[in-house]
Amino acid sequence: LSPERQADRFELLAAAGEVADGMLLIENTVARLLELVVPAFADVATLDSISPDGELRQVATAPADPGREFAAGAAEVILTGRAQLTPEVIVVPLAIAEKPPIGALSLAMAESGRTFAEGDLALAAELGRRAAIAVENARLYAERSEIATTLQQSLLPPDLPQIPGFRLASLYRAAGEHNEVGGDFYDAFEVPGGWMVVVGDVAGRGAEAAALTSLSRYTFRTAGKLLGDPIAALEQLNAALRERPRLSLVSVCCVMLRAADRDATADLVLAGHPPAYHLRRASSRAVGVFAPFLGAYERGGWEAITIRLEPGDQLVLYTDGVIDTVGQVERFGEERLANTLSDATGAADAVRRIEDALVTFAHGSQVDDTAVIAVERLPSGPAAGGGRARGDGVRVARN
Amino acid sequence: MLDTRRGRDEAVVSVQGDVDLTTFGAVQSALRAACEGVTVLVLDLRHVDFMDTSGLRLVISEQRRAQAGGYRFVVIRGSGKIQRLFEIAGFPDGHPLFGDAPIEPAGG
Repeated sequence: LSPERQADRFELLAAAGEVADGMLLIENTVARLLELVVPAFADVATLDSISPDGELRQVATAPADPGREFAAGAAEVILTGRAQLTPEVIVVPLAIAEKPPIGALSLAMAESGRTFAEGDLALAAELGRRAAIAVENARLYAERSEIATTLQQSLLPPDLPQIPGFRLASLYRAAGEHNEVGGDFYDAFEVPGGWMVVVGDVAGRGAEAAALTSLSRYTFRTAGKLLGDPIAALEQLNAALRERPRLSLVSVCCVMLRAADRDATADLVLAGHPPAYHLRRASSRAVGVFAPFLGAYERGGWEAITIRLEPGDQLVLYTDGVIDTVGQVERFGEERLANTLSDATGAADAVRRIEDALVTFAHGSQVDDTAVIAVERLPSGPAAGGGRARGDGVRVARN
Repeated sequence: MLDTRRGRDEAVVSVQGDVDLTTFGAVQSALRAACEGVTVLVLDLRHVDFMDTSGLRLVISEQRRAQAGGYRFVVIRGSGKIQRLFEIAGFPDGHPLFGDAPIEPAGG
């Protein structure tokens, strides 16, 4: 090889390395790699790889539509791991170190009339090695982002259920541009004897906070469904948090809603969480008994208070992202929240009022997550009686 | 915004400004640097303007460390807003976590 061509080849390899490092999606990565090879080194280049289900698939060719099949030897090369060389075609395995090949790179000469020589095999092998790294990285990346997306979706607040006799509305805003999921969560689910509605806040951000959010939400849900008692459920979550090697603190405000004929009550428990608001006829009242975070101590002394809910009454649960919202001069605070809520006409209105107030008040970018869930007691009617469960149309609740 | 004074058996870490997600790491480092060989470690919150739950997390974590390390951890109360935060987290005003007088440096 002339020194000039040698230099070209070094450049080619350097460029191929950059592609391998900066890859994102398999097809794009491989297409770029092949563009580097054609027409400098071959007239046609094809990359085949073994898909996760074990099939040999053509990932890319250059030019995009070569009009002919050149990759006939790919399967054999992948099986044997040995390169093939003829004057017209080179096929090299895509292999990283001593691992079994994950595909094959085929290079062919056609219209240019050029031919391959023995000396080209080394370069082709090196290209194959780099293509293998690119493909493997792209695969790992795709796998990782799929895991991340799946996990994020499992953490996003659920669609609110229909609770007989009540109406729910919610607001969820995660701080930060790239964080769909933060440390706040809410949930609403049926339990023996009623429904539980919960809002929680996990200290911190990022992967650790996401893991804790997931643990908290699902532990509380499971314990709530099994035990049907908010304090017992909180104690279970407390125990689970205390088993973690690192201090894991979660604040929670939860209510257990019970509706029987005309009477509806809410048992409300706070754990390290600011009070909820009970709205009745244009007035708002902070409710709850202050108690430690979950995860802090073996015993928290959490206490439930029972609130009688008249038709039109509301309970508004929120996380501290609401009261800690930064304004021009000060934080939003509890008093502003109480005033914002005092004449809310319903659950959806209460949530909308908070959102509007925060948007108007906020100064600079939002730093904390915000979650709000409002529960409105509907006027009693056939649908409100007896705590009838969804999908349980035959049970007669009246006695 | 952070000031550590050491006495013979005690250390006082005073904080000014905000204790939140962005600053609590620095406060924590100061406390951990100060707790070496003391019988009382004091966190002075009198000059804190704002604190969020990160501050509470810090306090609970220091409580734990103090218990394991065999020294006392004391918080000097902050403004009404900060005490409200403590109250919400189950530390009412009379809680043994709080101490009154700041500890002056030895010989001072």
